[in-house]
Amino acid sequence: MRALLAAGLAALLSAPTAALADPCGMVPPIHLPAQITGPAIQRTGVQRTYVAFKDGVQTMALRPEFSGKVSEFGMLIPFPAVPALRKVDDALFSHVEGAIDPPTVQVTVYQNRPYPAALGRAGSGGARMKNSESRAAEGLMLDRDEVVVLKEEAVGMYEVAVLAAGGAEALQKWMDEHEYRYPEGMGDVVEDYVGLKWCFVAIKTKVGQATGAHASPGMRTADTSFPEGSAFDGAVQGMGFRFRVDSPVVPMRLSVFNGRDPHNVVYMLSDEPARIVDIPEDLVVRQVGGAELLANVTAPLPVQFSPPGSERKLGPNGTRQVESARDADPINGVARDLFAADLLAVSGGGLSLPFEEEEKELLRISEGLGLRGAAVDALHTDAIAAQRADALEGSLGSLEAMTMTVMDGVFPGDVLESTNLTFASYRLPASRNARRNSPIRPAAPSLILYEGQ
Amino acid sequence: MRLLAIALAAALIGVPGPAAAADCSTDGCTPGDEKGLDPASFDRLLEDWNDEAMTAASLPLETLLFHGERTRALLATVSDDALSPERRAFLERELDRDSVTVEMRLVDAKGRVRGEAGAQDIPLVKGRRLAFEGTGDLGFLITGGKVKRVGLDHLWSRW
Repeated sequence: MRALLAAGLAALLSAPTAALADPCGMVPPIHLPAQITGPAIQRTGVQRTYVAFKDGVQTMALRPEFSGKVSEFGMLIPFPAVPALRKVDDALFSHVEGAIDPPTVQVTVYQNRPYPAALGRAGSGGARMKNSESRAAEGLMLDRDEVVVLKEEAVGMYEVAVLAAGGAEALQKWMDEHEYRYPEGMGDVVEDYVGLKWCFVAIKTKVGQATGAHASPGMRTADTSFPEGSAFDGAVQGMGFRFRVDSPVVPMRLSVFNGRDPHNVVYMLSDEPARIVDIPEDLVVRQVGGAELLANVTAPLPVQFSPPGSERKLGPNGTRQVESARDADPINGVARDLFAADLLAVSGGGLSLPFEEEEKELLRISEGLGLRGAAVDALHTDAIAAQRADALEGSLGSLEAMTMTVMDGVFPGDVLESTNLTFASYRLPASRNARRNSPIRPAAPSLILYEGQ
Repeated sequence: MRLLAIALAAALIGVPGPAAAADCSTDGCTPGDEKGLDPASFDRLLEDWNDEAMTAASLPLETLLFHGERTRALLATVSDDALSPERRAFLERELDRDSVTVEMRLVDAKGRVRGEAGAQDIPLVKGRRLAFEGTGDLGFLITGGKVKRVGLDHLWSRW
């Protein structure tokens, strides 16, 4: 099967005039030839892309959802410079939504009750390469049939290779030989990126079934592979890419292979309020200034008491419960740390921060031992929590001068296919700048308390 | 009786087995667990084993060995008509091999031994913890796991 899933990324340029010349795109799953039967890999759900750009350092993060045969999953993403790679938290996008418009904690205070009891939380909870890494790639004079492996890494459930190619055919040959999924039919687009001397991040996943490792009579070897034709439906591990570039760019040209006119949500954190060039302005749906964004991720969640003024009738226990419920960490803590890490990288922390490398090392160890999942992720998070907190301490300051722009809607396929998306300065009229109530945003707690409690 | 001495750097894992193992959890079949091997299945396994060479690594024999203590308990109820004395003696001998000697070395990516857990006899199926010595700056390291018998000459282990 030749289907391939690659996530779609939007090209972003914060400078109004910085329309890139055919920058690279990200390769989503390619279409299946008609003669091939069976379920293909298909991207499902809304394509969400987080982008942050400041002072020549860009971060992109995505977490693809797909449906189809597990053996067919793969991604191919072009980049203008060799990126630092890392796993991103599964809750990234829901927490970004929670940072943009945090939910309000609802507290209902009743007059009296013999044995007060709080119900607790009711809710659910053409850029130019310029840095040393990219110069290495830029300096390569590759033959048409040549592919150079710039970097290989295991990032959690993914095996990742960063490649420079002399031509699309050579890239396809290398990927086929190394069991990555090349998106057939997109050679022309790949050639464009080759011409620009962009590199390619090829991603394949390691998935298996645990039952194949269980003890049973007569067993001789482990076979954790999925049976032929096994399907997967859901989100896979998110990945983040950080790289140096003159102007922000998110390659999305190849995303048309996921189907035309996809529904995209792009979150852009940049120095200026922005819009995507050639994408209708009405798809800009929300802008939040840096000061507000900073408050959203550092201050307690907003709270609303019913009836109004009843907060004055709460006792110490009730007050403590309200304070606890207003903790923003479960709502947008992941986004706060992401913003802080990106800003730290900009201020000289390097493309890959020490705690990010530490987390990747833990991921590699766990993957080597066949350990994967939410429980393992939680252990990793706990293991680096102190290191992360120390590193990110105080790095949110410059967030105040930035703006978060959200573009949400169906991006025209012909635009995606023909050019990388770029950005121009754009301020959303106040009349249209309404709060978002995204269904993926974590819900705020609701409390029922009693006077004097 | 000691079955095997093994040096482990990683777990041995294997292919899913026949339906007889379906009632066993990943932690194996607790000795005496009625769900691990019911009498009817046990009788069928004996019949199937009678059709195989006695000492060959056949699936019926290996299934009987996999269920260990449960097989031993059911074997005590079997009449002489169902199993020849020779086969009974062979099966009992194999069932008596119910412990393993485990020795571990912790090896880093450069091939250096960073710690050792000396040879220890442990019973099959039951979980054990082993402490590493000589770990130096790695600090105190301990691992837990178990070994199960999945064949006449094959073990499964996970730590």
